[in-house]
Amino acid sequence: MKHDCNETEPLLSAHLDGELTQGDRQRVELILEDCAECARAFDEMKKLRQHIGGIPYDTMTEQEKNEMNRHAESNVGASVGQMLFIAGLVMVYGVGAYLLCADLITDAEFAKSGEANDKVPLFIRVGVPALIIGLGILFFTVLFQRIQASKADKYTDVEF
Amino acid sequence: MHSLEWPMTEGPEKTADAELEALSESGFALAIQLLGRHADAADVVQDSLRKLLHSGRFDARRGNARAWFLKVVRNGALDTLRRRKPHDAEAVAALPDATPAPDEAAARSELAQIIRRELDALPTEQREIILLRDFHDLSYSEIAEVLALAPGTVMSRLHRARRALRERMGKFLK
Repeated sequence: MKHDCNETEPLLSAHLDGELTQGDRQRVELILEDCAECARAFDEMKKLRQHIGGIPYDTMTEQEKNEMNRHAESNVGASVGQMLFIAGLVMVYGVGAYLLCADLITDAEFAKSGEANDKVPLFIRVGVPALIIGLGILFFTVLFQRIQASKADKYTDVEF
Repeated sequence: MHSLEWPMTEGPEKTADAELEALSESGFALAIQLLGRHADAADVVQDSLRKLLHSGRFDARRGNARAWFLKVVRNGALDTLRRRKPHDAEAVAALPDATPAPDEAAARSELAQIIRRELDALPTEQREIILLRDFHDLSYSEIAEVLALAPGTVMSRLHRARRALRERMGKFLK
């Protein structure tokens, strides 16, 4: 069969792997019957493939496997704990901060009694909400940066 | 061991533990093939397992768990290679072969040793594609996933890598 051995070689490699279409496979089989050079190249590829499959590479010890699985599992536990902690913190911090700030800003006790002693000093009325809001902004900024960094992680960005 | 359940199993007989162990072994083999140093390979696999278990986006129904995991291991191994200093690479090259048990050593053919040596001498790009196909037995579409290549590129790249290995092997294949 008329063919160029150099052009046929990639097809030989794919034929070895069973990745050719039926038409190409039949064509390659005819070439292999006719061409000694292509048949030799194909045999060499086959021989290499068989030996590569049997190369004994270093393996993990049983102890390493157990430690690895244990470590991976503990990381999952830590991650769940971390998420619960953040959720709880956001709820407690958010509601607590809202109630405290609302009370300070509206000066609730003073509004009820009208006595000057119940009036909260201005630096507390302004300072405490400023501290709470500042801390909240700082927390959510860091959280946002962490989420952004996690999204940019190429290993988690695998889609099928 | 742990009893995490995620949709990785193809049949009820396979537990998540068995799947995880099979993935770890496969990932470790690829890591050691690319890195050559046991401790580095173990670190990469551990890191990859963590990513697998933490990745909420992983869904085996939409793809192949092994290809996904090998892709993460491969990326981790390449990062480790990039971070290596020149004297590290020399130290790894000088490492003795992984010491097999005596009976394994007896069974290991001389040709397999020569092939391994020549494979190690190939550029990483060629070595990894040969190993993914001939050692890990991945299909072309799975190799395309692991190496982030267009499926049509796998055939030509694999052919070039095989030709390079055959040229290096020369007389040993005759």
